[in-house]
Amino acid sequence: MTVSVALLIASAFGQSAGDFTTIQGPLLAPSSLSWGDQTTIGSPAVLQRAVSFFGTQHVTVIFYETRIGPATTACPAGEWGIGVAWSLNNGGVVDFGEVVLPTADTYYSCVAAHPSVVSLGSDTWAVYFKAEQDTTSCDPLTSPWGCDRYSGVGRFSIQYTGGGGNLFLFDYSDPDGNPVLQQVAQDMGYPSVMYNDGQFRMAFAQNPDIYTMSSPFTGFPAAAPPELAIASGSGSGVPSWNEDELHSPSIYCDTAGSGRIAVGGRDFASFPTLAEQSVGMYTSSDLATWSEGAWPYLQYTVDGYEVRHLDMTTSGAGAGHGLWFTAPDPADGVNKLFLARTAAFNRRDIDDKRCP
Amino acid sequence: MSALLLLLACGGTDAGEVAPAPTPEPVTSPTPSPAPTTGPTTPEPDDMAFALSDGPVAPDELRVVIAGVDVLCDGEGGAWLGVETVGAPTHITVTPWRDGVAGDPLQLELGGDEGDAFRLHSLDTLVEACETTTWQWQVEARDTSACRWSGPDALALAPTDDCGA
Repeated sequence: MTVSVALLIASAFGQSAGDFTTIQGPLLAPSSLSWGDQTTIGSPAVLQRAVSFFGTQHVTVIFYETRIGPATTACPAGEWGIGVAWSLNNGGVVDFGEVVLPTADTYYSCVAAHPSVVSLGSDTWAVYFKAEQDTTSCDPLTSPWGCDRYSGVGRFSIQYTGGGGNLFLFDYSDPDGNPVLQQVAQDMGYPSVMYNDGQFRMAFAQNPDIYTMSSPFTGFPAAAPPELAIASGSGSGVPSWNEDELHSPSIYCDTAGSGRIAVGGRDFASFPTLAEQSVGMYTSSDLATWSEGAWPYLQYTVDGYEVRHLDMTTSGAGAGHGLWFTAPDPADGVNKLFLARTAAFNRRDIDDKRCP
Repeated sequence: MSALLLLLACGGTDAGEVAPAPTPEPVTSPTPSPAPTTGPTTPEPDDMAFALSDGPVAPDELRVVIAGVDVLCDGEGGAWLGVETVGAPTHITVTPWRDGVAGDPLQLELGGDEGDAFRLHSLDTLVEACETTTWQWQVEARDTSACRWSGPDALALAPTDDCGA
């Protein structure tokens, strides 16, 4: 696969030397997938594992969503599944195919999308995804999670199991039989999780705002309800960059006890026509109250990318930022994977979203 | 599901990286070395291959891992002890430590569904000085085990064995 620099427009991006300086991509296009309907790629979620092979090499694993089938009466949003792609060091991104497909009689019978990945330590990661189910064939007697279209959040695990010679292996599990966050209401999406200060911390979008919740367990038992973290329309500018909607939050570590949320914002001229789409940043020193930061931003009208899904990663213990995002390619309008990076971002040293 | 998936790695420098400057030729050439005889080729990252399991694996094929632990003290001597695992544990014990001394291990009830990778296990019990107790969690599965410390003295006690805090 050819990886090319699409743009090098440092001055356009923003406000300080720490801003994104490069956009790489497209790194992965739907036409290169061996499954799905090959029309779209969305919602990247990134993990990295260092392996020893004549020195230290770094394999980056990228989960993504893609569409499998069009909208139907049973599945009004269409059918969606989750796939995985790989990249070694600074090399190209190669698709490996599907890991979760919509499955009859499950809570993800229509949609498994919006993946998010968090390290559990011990070379093991939890992968979350938004689920939707076919309500027309749902049997409440055999579906303890209920028969709402938005059935909750699924999760499965992936483990690095070691290597032999030049071969390195990962195992993954089926999604659990029941979703987590069944209590979350309609229009919930984009779950994003980090582990910080002894708790798993999830941010998600509940149109049009961002909510967070925390738990010592990945299953987020219903003991503590989600709390409003960031309200749309609260960003700077007139109108604010997130005037009408916040979407696709990506929560990640700053230091133990503090964190950041990179998040997309939309300002509609007249729904669904966009006036602006941006990526903004919020910070928190207590993981409870979130304040708008001044860094960094991407703007559709300035930079040319309408970011629809994002996963913010750091490298070197936060020294560099790499924003993995999917957006319509300005060249052809097809949703593809891109990477915006600050000057200090190192693709060979991506941090886990775990502190400590 | 996918067949065994293999990637032969593409280890090249991406376009966003700055290629190292070429090393200048030395002005004075060194004495030519004898031509090497045919020998082994040094492996390169391009020779690496990655694989994903041939479809999802069963929980008991996963290495058992502790995802999270929690202790809820009710202030009246009662406590709820919980541990979340990945994999299929067969035995879980948690040992209370006070003043650097281990108490009697407690056995947790195995929870979760057999087909699930993530499982929550718990125990309601009576605990002396619950709030100041440090806990050592030990999970065993068919071929693997996992361990974790939690509580006020976890960082001090963890180095005493190979169980991380």
